[in-house]
Amino acid sequence: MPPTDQSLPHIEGLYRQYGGPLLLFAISICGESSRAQDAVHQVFLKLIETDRLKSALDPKAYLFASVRNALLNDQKSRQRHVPIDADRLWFTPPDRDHAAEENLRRALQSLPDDQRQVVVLHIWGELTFSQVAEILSISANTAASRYRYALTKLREAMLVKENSNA
Amino acid sequence: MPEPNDEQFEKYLKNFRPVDPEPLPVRTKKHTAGANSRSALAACAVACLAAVALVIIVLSSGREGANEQSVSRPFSDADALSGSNDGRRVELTTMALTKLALDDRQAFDEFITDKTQSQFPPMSTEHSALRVLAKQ
Repeated sequence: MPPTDQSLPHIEGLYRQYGGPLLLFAISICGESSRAQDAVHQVFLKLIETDRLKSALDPKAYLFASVRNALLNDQKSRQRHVPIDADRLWFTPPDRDHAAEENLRRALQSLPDDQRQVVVLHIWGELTFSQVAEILSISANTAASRYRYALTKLREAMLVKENSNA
Repeated sequence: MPEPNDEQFEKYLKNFRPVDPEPLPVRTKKHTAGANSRSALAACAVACLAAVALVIIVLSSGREGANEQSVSRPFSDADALSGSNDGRRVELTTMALTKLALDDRQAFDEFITDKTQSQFPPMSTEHSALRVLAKQ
């Protein structure tokens, strides 16, 4: 179904609202900023073509799941795992504290993939554990426990880094 | 940094805003408006070209009309009798001669006589080919 005049601004609005968290989520999966960017674009371009978002019960969760699926399909076709791109910025840091941004980025990179994805979805995607569970095809309890582990590791990694810099 | 509890740490992490992706490579409303203005400009350019072409056509047809007018204007006797040898003038002269023959028979005869004398070999000598032929 082609998009209507009403649906295009709606999709653009979703892109502006969730583009950043979706990109971060995509990077947390594939590790490459350019691939992540392509996956997010691919999802939104398909939405504009098909207007499939209308039938989604939870449009926000649908977007995150679509980005994940796009990347997983792409990874299957590539049959290789790419290390995380460490040079590109993932965040706009508060007070232009770029050292803190790098610290956070490296801490996130040090997490296992599944934990990193849960943290990104819950904190920056602002999704509930049930939504996270739906997207990652796991139970809500698993999502919550992965999150707790991840948060602890993240905090430790960031504190260690800060103390070593001090 | 003092070791924060989960809630404080979450709050701290949320201060970091994920970098926005690049704009979608798609024709959005703004792009469409840009395309519309571009096509409007193109339409204006085409209209201007068409207007210029029309003006050129009108001007050139005006010139042709003027030429035709000069061709079809009534010839004076002086025109007719000027004796120019170029193709158009010969044609004009023929037309003018016809007119002259109809309007002023005597002038026409005089002109023809003059022309005959200047264009044909003289018949005054006894053995001219023309005289011999005339006799035969």
